[in-house]
Amino acid sequence: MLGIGYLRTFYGVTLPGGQPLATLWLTIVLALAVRRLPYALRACYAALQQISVSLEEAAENLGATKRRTIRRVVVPLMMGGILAGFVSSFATAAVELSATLMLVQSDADAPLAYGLYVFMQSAAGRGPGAALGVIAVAMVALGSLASHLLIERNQRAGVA
Amino acid sequence: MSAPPHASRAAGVRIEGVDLSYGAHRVLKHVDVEVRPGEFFAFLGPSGCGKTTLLRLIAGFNQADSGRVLIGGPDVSALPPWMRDVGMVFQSYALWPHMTVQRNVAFGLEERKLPRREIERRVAAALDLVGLADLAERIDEPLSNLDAKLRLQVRRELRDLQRRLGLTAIFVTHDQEEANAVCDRIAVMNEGVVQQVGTPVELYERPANLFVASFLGTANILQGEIIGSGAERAYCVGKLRLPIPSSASVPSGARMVFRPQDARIGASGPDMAAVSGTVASREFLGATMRYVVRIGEAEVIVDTPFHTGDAMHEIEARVTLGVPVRSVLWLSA
Repeated sequence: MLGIGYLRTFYGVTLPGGQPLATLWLTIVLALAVRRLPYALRACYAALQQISVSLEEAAENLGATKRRTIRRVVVPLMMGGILAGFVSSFATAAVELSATLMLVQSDADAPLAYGLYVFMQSAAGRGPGAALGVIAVAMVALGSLASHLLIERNQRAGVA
Repeated sequence: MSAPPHASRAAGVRIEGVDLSYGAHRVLKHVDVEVRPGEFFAFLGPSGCGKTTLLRLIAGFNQADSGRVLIGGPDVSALPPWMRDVGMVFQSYALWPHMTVQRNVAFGLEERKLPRREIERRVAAALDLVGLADLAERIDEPLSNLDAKLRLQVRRELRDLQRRLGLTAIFVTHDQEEANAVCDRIAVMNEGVVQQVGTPVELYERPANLFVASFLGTANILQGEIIGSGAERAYCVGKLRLPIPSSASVPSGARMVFRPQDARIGASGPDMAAVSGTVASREFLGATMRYVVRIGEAEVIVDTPFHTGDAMHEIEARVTLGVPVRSVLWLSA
C-alpha cells in the first residue's frame, strides 16, 4: 500500500536527469523504514523501560540538564536496544517484497527480496533464486539472533 | 556553584509550609522543618510517611503544591534539580552501569565544566577518601550488598565524612537506631506530618505524642483514667495508681507512658507507685531480661539489666511492680 502511495505521489515528480522521484533509492529506504518503524520503536521502548528512573535523576542531581542526561546516561544505556531494533529491522526489510516491488526501477538499487523475485520469474533462475533464498533465510535468522543477544546483554547491564 | 563543598560554607535548608499531593493522596501536610548549616539531620518515620518525598522535594524531583524550599537563604522552589547543587544518594545507589567507578565519580565534576586535570585530582582524592582507589576501573560496584556489620561501618564513615567536610546532611531512614546513632537532630514524621523535631535524647525523653513515644524505642502505653482533683489527682490503670504532679500537664484522653527500663520488679520507695502483678512472659535479650508483667487487664514491659548469676522471676510468679512517678509521661495521640 505504502509503495503504491509513494508511486502515485512521486512518479509525477521528475528529478534532473529524467528519473521519477518515486524510483529513487531513497524512496525505498523511506518506505521500508516507515513499515519497520513500529518494531524498531518497540525495541527502543523496551530498552528505555529497562533504565531505572533514579539513574536519570542521579545525573540531574549532579548538575546535568535534561538534554545532557539523555546524551550521557539514557542513550548509552539504550544503545543495546537501539542496535537490536536496527539489526532486526534491517534483516526483515531486506526480504520485504511488497513495497520494494512497486518502487524498484534499476537492478543496481534493488534489495535482496527483489532479486529473489526476478530470479524466480524464469526457469533458468530457479537455482540462483533458491541460493538467494537460503541467504535471505540465514540473514533473517542471524539478524534475529544478533538482536536477541544485544537485548539480553543490555538487560544484564541494566540490572547490574 | 562550582565551588567545592568543603570550600563553601555549609548551607542550611528551610522548608516552609509545604503541602504536596499525589492525586487525591496528601503526602505532605503543611511541613515546616529547618535544618541548620553543618547539621546531620534525619527524617525518620515508617514507610509511606512522606520522608522520601520530602527529600526529593529538596533535591528538586518533586514540586510542592504550596510552600517554599530555601537552601542557604534563597528560595529554590522554582529551580530544576541541576541548578540546586545538592547531592542526593539514591536508595538503589543509582550508579551508571555503563561507566567505570572513576567515570561515575567524575560525572558531576564534568557537568560543572571543571578542567580535566582538576577533575582527575578530585576523583582520585574522593576515591582515596573512601578507600576505593584500587577499584577505580571497576564497573560492577562493590557496595550494593551492605550486610549488618558493614552498615555500622558505613554509618560511622558517613558521620566522619560529614564532620570533616563540614556538610549539611539529611538522612532518610525508618530505623530509629540508625538515626539516633548518627544524627544531631531528627524530624519524626508520620502520615505526611512532622510529629516532632529534636535531638535523639529529647525525642526519647520528652516525646510530644504517642506516635513519637512508640516509634522511638519501646514504650509502655497504658490506658486509664484520672481520679481526684487538685493535689490529689492521680492516673489509675486498674490497681496501679500514679499521683500526677501538680506541674504535669495532662492532655484530655491522655495515656500513661513510660519506658520499660524505668519500671522495676520488686522495688518500692517514696517516689514509686507500686502494684502487684504476675509475670506473663520472659525474654532473654543478652544484656537485659525483658519481662511482661500483667496487672489486671494491662500488660507492662519491664527491662532489667542482666548480670551473670542473677536470679530470674519465673512465669506466673507474683511480683511487685514499681513505677517511678518522675519517669511517667501523659500523652495523647
